[in-house]
Amino acid sequence: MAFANLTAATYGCAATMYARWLAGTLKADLTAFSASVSPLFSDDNPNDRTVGNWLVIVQAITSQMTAGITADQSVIDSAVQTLYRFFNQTDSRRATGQISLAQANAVLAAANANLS
Amino acid sequence: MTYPQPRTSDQIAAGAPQWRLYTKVAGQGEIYEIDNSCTAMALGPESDFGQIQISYLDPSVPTSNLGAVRLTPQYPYGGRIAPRLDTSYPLSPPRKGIVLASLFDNFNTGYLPSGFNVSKMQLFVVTPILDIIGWQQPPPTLPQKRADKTFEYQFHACTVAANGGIWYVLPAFLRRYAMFHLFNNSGATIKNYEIRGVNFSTVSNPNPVGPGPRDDAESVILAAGDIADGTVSVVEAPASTKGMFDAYAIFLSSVAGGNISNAPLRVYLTDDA
Repeated sequence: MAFANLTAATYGCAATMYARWLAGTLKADLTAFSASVSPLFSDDNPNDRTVGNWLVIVQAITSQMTAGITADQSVIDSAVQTLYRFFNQTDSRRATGQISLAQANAVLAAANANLS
Repeated sequence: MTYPQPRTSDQIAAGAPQWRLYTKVAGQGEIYEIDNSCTAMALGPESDFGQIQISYLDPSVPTSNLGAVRLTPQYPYGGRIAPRLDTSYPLSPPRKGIVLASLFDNFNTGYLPSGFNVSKMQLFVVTPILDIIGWQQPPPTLPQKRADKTFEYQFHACTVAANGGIWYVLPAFLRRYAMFHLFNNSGATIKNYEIRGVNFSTVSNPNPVGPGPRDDAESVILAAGDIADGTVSVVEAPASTKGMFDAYAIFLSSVAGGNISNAPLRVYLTDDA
């Protein structure tokens, strides 16, 4: 089911990510998600980095995963915790104006395309 | 945190032998930049948080090139960590090799105690502080605990309504011991004095709009009861028997509502068992 908003993504990503792990697609899904949202946040813009810096950690965790469901569960848990914080930060930085509504909506769209 | 974030390197440029990242934390997704190196790093004495993740560019780490250290009160890090502004993390587009600090503790800025009644209750939330210190030269000793912390409130701004009261929400991340001391010298009975330990939820929305169940896990430390005028309540909560919490929520109210004065509530938290 699609996330209605970033709050739903924040608290709902654990269930959907574990489902995708069990389906054997989580590594590919996270890779696609990261590739989709990374260009949204410029490393040269301090406001963008308040969200974009999380992608460093998302990428690192994704790179440690093996495809399928053989990944160490601690890696999956790290991924879930990281995405939980990433979505929360995206939502709160949009609310305070560091990032735009368009950026936040693009993150939500990428979440729904790859992680819902 | 105010944005843009102050640079830690400015403190070093001003002549300090160490940098300090000290800020109130606005949310569980905050991520901070450290643009200066250090030879040792530890939680600062004012830190309310008990677990901070430090992430840094380390080309020796296979595949991810990301090194990570988790700072806790018992485990300061003795070793060099440095930003690598000359190179980038392996992302597309690339990102500079800055050092990053993020929360590992769970935290919910929107927490409301279950049963919260907006017509009868005030909410007083202490915003937790992130405090990290990095030394340019090896420090004489590395601290292995946060400073003990005491919160004290003598005046309680309760809502004016029958049994109107106030909730205090105090940060407690990984504290091993808590003591709650309430001396009712107010001249009237304090009603419904209650203490809960709270573990914040990360897996379902803990703050649904409108009335309904909330999902942050609350454990009863002291069931609601009255404290007669002139009496004292002392409650101890060692983690070994009561549990380890992200926060404590404390409620008290007056018979007719309205302020309670001269009833000091003191909460003492420590990293010592």
